[in-house]
Amino acid sequence: MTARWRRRLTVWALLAPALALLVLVFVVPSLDLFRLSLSWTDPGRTIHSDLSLTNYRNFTTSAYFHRLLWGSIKLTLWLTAGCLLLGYPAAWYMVHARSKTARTVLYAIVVSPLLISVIVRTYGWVVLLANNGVVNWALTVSGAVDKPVRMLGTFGSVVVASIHVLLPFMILPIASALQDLDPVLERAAQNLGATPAQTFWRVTLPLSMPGVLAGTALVIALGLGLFITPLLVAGPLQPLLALGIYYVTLNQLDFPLGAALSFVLLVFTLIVLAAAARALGAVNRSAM
Amino acid sequence: MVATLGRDLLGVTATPNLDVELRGVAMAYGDTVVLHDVDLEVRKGEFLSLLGPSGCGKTTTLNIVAGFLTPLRGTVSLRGRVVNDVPPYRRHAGMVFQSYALFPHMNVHDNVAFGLKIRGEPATAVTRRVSEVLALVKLEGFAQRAVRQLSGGQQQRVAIARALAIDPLVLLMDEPLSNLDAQLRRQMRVELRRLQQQVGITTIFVTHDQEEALTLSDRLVVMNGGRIEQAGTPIELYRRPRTPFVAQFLGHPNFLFGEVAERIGGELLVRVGPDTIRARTDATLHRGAPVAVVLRPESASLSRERSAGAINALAGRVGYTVYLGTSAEYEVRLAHGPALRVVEQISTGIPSFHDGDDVVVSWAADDTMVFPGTPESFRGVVG
Repeated sequence: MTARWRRRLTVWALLAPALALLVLVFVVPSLDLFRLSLSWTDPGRTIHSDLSLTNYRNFTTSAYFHRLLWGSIKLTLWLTAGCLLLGYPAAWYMVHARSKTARTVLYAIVVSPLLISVIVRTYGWVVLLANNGVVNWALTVSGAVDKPVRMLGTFGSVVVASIHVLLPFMILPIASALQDLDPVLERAAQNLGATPAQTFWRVTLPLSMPGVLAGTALVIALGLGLFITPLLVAGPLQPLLALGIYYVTLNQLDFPLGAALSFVLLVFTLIVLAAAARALGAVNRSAM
Repeated sequence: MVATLGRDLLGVTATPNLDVELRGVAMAYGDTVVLHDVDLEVRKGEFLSLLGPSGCGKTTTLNIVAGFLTPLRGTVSLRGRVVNDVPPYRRHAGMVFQSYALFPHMNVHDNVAFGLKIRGEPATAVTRRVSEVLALVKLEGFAQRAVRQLSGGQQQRVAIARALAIDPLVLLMDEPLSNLDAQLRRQMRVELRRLQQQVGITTIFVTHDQEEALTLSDRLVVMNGGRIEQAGTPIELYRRPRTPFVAQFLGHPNFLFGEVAERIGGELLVRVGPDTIRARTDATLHRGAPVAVVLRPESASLSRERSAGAINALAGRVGYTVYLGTSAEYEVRLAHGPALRVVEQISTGIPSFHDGDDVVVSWAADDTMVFPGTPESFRGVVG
């Protein structure tokens, strides 16, 4: 046996446990789900397991499902923009804070949402945004409004609560990219006459693009599939594909349609991620 | 032109013909003082080296000139204009960083063009200037290369081209050769000197390598512990070091400790153990004062016999020989005293002496340097 073969064998042996687990709990259920998506449910809620594209045809022709998909896209666009605008400055400050304590505290704050259950976090937003919640109380007491503003259940509340959930996934990759950036490059730019703003746009930002794209890809992938947070702050009727799947499956008990919609969402997410990966590869090639 | 005139009319012009001037510049990080009231002048077109061990303040000085650091006290002037409050991006000083600091997301052309584009130069002028400076550093045809495709030496040239492209008031170099291998370093040294003379640009060059400083500089400034020990031409500093530190840093000479016996005319007689050593020096030292006699390895010569009338002749035995082809360095254990290093230039390629030979080390009074102080006071200097 040659050394090359031995090395290959070692690699496969090391990968085997993880691969076996993935096949068992991801690939097999996915295939099963795909098979289910090709069945169809009659009005009497009987599932017919002959191969049919009924559900997919249903999705392509129904304006209702298109509205759900568009809702998911719109939410993801908002989340990406929001996370970028809030996340980049935070990441920058996290890396550049002078005192080590400040950096540690910031890091803890950024990571903390990941350590708390998503349900607890979301209920926090319910407490804040409810008609008798903290924000409305503050607004009423300060005289800014006469009667409570309805916030819970709106698209805006979904955006705000979801940004909170996803922000760490934007901040951490950007912070890591900024950390890797040699500060002497920024000095070099200034030495050549670039103002701090020009230095940022021409050196810092381009060189942190790998982090920006990685964060964006994460936010998009997670944002498209987000459903617990929207469900809790806005209820099951928000026009989002993930909530639609939840509703169709658990309220209408139309498992095949739910499975088909899941696959639509999965494929759509994969397409967006592939595009992001391509862009990431291009940026990495030019940056490294 | 108008700006220059304006500055002249305002009377802020300091000494003319000085491109860089530091007056009483002090710097500290927290409680650690890294520069003590440094005065520095760099004349127009001059190649000046800041030489010293790490932590001596040479890089700090360079960063103060570039504007990356703000001194606690003192004034920094570029071409007669005080620039203490001028940010680095308005100073017009071109810097070559130790790590080159090339922008990894740009090719060679864009790196060199960076400063020109920032200034809003028209595209044709940018292209012309970029090919001009790339030709200057002999990198024609490399414009479209990615930075990572370049060797260390080529990256270094790009860094120099990038700094020169903006036609800076002064070229600042922070140990630019330290990342190159020995052969390339020697080659770049020659080329750097040629380039600097060709462009005629005022240059401050920071290094810890005495050979680099001696070969490149019009003038060099030896720094130690945040102070300037001595400034002058390489020959002045090598021949007449004013402090033991400078003597030690330039050429690692031998130190012998003794005391002043008497002065006869321009010569000082120093007793070292049972021997008497003559030194030509103007230093006023009273009889009995403890001194160090400093002798460069290449100033001394070896012979088998003590020649008649020889002064400064000490007997010893060759301990070991370091053969270097064109020269040999002997360690001679003195009969009375420590070991001396002596370098012999050998044109034949064959050393004249071997380990165990009994020899006499002798040298001229003129080649003997004397610094006051006890052996204890030289601790930390003599290493």
